[in-house]
Amino acid sequence: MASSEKRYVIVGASAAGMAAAEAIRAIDKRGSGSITVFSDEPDPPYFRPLIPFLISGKKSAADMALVGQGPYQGVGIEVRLNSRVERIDSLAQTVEIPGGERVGYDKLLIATGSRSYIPPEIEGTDAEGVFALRTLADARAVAGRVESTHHAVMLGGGMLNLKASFALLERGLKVTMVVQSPQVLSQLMEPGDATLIRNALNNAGLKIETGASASRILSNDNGVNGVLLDDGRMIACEMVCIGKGVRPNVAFAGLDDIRIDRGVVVDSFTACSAYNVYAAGLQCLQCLRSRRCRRNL
Amino acid sequence: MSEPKEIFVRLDRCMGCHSCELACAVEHSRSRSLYGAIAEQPRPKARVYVESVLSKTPVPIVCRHCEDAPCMHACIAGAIRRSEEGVVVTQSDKCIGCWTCVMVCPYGVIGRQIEEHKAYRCDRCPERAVPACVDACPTKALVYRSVKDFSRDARQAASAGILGVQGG
Repeated sequence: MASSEKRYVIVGASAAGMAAAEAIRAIDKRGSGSITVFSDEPDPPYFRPLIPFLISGKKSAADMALVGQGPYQGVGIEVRLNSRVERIDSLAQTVEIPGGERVGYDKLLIATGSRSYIPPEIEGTDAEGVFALRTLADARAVAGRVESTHHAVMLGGGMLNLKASFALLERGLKVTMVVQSPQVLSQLMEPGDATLIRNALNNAGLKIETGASASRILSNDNGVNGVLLDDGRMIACEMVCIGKGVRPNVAFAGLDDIRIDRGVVVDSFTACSAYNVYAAGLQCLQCLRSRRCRRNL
Repeated sequence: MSEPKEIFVRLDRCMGCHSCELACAVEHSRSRSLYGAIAEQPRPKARVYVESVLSKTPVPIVCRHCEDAPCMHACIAGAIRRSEEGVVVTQSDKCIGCWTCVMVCPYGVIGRQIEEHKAYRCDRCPERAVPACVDACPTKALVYRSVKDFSRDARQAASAGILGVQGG
């Protein structure tokens, strides 16, 4: 089979998946090979870093659309929305989506990215008004509750929660960030640098509580009405955003022959342990040095 | 479609007068006049830079509109596209001022308009037949030609040199 006739299947329609689709199409200029991208989201591919602007009201969902912008022209690339790949059969070289449809591939790229981590030790995270900002749908949900919110509490001091905080401040909400570590952005910078950032955040109107963590989210019929901290304090609020890091999206069935170790294990060619299966993006947490290592994957 | 043109630099001709920078800033001002540009806020910015390196040799440097442009792939907002003429364009209305393009540009020729929180770069002066920097260069160190024409000129200059040596 000529390379241009291959069936390329990509799981995940965010940055890695769509960039790969465009790169494949750039090489396969004749366009006779099929490229199918599966997304479990209802929205067409979008620039994920822009979603806080949906909350602040500076951009609409249409403004964030990825296809047709920059290098993402989408020519000859089929994107199937609301299509979560539930199973990968690397022996039969098929993926399975809800409804039992199986789609064959010659080359498969896993670009499923990550999902928000919701700490199980925090009680009440399923209450209405508790969010983890990761997708456009999440941003829409947050924006939808802004009108009925006076005070929002952000659990976690990472980049996602900082961006969400600024969007909420721009909407005129009172925002308090609860950070377990002694500083914001503890995973990214030294304490001295973080202090500079903290001062800037305070000046921007963000209240930061360090050295504290939430033990329980309180709610009533209207949804969230407070957060109980581990030091016994209670903060009244109508919205909670959880930004406690992310975990790789590797929850597929049938991954037995695709080695997972905190993420999809790939070699320096981004090849997985199963033949004709590759991975790119946030869910690849380990990269072995050379293709030779594949024998040992 | 005619052969696309590029801005070439003839380093042996540049004397570091910075006329290109001035002309660029004026071209990208609201008034498009030198005196008007000086008074404008925010101050109009040049997209071409004359750097002095190695014994203060002046080197004009401007966006190369790279064939595989790192800035375009790095932009997290889809604000950078390539026009039909091959010019890499930053769409100001889409730019969110994250400066990712500034960080990945191997030539350091993408600037930050801090006041407006937007990135800016050479746009090859779309309303002019010849970019302002090229027009302003008093020694013709900057030339606006197609690769084909520029190469032919170089070949002819080299050929003339060879003949001169042989004839000498």
